[in-house]
Amino acid sequence: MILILILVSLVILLLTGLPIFAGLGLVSIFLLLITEGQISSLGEIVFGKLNIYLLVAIPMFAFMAHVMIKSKVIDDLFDTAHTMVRHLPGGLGVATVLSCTIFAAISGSSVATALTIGSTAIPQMKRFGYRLRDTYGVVAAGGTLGILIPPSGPLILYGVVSETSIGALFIAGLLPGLLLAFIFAAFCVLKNLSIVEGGRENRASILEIFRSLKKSFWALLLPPLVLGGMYFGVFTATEAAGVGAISAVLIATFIYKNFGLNDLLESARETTQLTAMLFMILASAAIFGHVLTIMELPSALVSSVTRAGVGSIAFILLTMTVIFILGMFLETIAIILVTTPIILPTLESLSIDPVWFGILLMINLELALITPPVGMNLFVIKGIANAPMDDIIYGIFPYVGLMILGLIFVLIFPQLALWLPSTMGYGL
Amino acid sequence: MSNKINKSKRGAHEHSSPFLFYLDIFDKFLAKLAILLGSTLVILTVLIVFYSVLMRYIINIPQTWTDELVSYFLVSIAMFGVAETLRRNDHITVDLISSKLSNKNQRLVNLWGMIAVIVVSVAMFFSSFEMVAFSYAVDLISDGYVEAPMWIPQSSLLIGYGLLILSALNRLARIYSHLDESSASTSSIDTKASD
Repeated sequence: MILILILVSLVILLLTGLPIFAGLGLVSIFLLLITEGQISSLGEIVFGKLNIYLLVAIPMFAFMAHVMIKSKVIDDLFDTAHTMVRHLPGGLGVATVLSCTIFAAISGSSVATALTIGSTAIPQMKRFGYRLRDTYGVVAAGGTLGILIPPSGPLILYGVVSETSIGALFIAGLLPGLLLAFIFAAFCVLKNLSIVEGGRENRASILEIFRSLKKSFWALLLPPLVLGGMYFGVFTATEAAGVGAISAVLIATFIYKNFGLNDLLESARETTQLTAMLFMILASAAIFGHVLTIMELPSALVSSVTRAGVGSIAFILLTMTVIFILGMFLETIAIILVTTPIILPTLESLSIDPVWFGILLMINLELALITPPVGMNLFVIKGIANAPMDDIIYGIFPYVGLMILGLIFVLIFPQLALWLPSTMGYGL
Repeated sequence: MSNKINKSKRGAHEHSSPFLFYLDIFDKFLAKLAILLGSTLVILTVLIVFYSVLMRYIINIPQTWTDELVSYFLVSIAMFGVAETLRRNDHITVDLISSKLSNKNQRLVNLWGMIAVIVVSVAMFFSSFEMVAFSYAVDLISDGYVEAPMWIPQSSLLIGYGLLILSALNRLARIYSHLDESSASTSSIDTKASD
């Protein structure tokens, strides 16, 4: 009951419009004063939770993404995807999904993916006469793949908070991410099957495909370099991020030749700001988690769940429902940082695999990104296309259903998430 | 939109009291300096991590100090960016309700937001000060390979929250004096690339 009261108070406080880190901080400090009568431990708690080597991967991956965005690599990626699938019904939609999938493996962020791909794809789809609502839907949904397909900033945060292998989480996100991409692409094809052959673009020749692949070869090399290094156990997540960042700078400078010192400094500045924004929430969430532990609320939840005889699937369904509702109002990072410490002990007591749960959580958070009223990707589309929110929501509606379908798939078949990590030794 | 904001800021400078004018300049200077340091640390971190990979896998001489050093850098990067992030309205907020309010009520929301930031930052600042002072007094050394005096990396918290207090006070004064018309509840899309 106390837990529900705290969570509801927190949501109400955040809805008053103050920065999330300040809201979370206020609640945590207030609770700390009640439970411990002093707040002198704040500095130690925050320093201990930020000073973690694994978290270094977040600014490194963000820097890599900023460099790749600045080098305009996305135009080549989109061209390549378009060349390969343009003959299909809804070819541009499929190309958008394909570009989002590839860029997700570079950016680690859903908003960056929707923003970058959307800026290129939306004008193209408009030019080829696609229905505006369909255009907005596919970009907003395709963009969400950014947090599921590795690298992923939110997966790193979940991994650090839940003390789960980030390498295993990254690799686990791959198949479900590709499955969702396939579902989105199949939907684009089915939706446009009625378009007659003459209304479609012609199939690209092998030579054309080869040429476009050659143009974006170096950008396409980055995801296998980063993920392959982790999969084969060559790099840790942080090392992979460092190698990816250096590779991105080299590719942008020497291959694309449109990346100078100013771009480097600008990328570093944007990375610093993003890190500050994220880590301020992480700092407040660290205090929040500490207070909850002192109040023994996570263990109280374990007792309640055990007493009520709730099984693992029922608990997951319950948790996913709560997170889905929270996702309508809160931002994804805050949801991960607030809910994970609360539910983690219960996951352990019910023997729920934290990697599997992490992937289910990410798909649910992807839903949060496209469900109104607070869906970041909806705002991104509104920002790019200056479109009415009603049209965007209408366009995204089928994709909400498709994502729930994907979530159910991963829930019924945990191996979709756990098989690849098991081949690299996770859980053995 | 940016033109509008620039215009309003220019107007603000023209009509602000000398105290607010210099407070804004001072705050802006420190925030820019801090983010420049943070950006430098980002580049240094990339280089150190890459150097560590090279030494470990190519030269086969693993470096023992790199992981610990970049972890300290990470705290500094985050803390050196907070003030500029606040100046740019880029801290994430839930603007579901506040974005629908009238200008007058939005101003109240912005005031409330800055007061909350100040309260949290002051608590964090004094707690961090105690931590740094203690580490300095007992000459606390890190237990890793760097063997750094802990008060040095811990000081980033002091600097970060100190700068945040200054920026929030500046912003509070400007909102109160009707000098800051930009909404605190809307942050630009591109910088929210964390989601």
